[in-house]
Amino acid sequence: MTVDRARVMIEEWQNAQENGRANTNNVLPAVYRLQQSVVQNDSSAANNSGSHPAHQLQWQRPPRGRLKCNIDVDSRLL
Amino acid sequence: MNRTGIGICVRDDDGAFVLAKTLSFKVVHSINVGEALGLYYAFEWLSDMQLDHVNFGTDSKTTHDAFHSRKVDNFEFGQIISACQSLFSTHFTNSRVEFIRRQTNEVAHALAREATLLDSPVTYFNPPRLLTISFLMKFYSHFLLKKKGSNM
Repeated sequence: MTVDRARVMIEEWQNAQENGRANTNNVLPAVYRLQQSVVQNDSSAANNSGSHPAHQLQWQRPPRGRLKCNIDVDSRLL
Repeated sequence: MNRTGIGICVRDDDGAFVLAKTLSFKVVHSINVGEALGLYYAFEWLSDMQLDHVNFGTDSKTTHDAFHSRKVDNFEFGQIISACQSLFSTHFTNSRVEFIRRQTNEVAHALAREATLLDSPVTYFNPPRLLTISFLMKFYSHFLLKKKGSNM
């Protein structure tokens, strides 16, 4: 009985985590140049130590297509 | 302290934000020299990022015309334009420099204004908050004008 309740609780927790991740991915396209990636400098070391791999945002080049670059200048006199 | 600020904003085909940069100098340049420097630093930055197929937009008619001119100018402005032409022809194949109206250059202007308050160059990978505020203010003033017009 207790084991079943614990199993249900763990499953709900995992579902909540997955939903959270899905929501984060849905938000990212707003800043779509930044994509979340998993950086594993040394996967074996990470596995051995049991630590989680580091997550970081990386800028990605825009896909092919024209870009617009606006430039302006301002001065401040004190 | 007197400063000249340069604002550069890169967007994609759909107008979505790609990158932005602000940089400033502890000196006040003439408007034309400042605009030419802005163009130069935009070329330098985008060539460093290896981006091509770019429409560079400046609201300075003098800078735009000088860039497309073959006249030799040995003064400061002419020398910067000459450096711009050289950098452009070396690094960009399918790009152009065009004149845009000041009204359509508000984002770059907001960045330039912000740049005068900053000591170091800043690269923005997300739309900076000041752009959101600038957009909201523009939207709000447009809304107020529209409302005023409908009341009259």
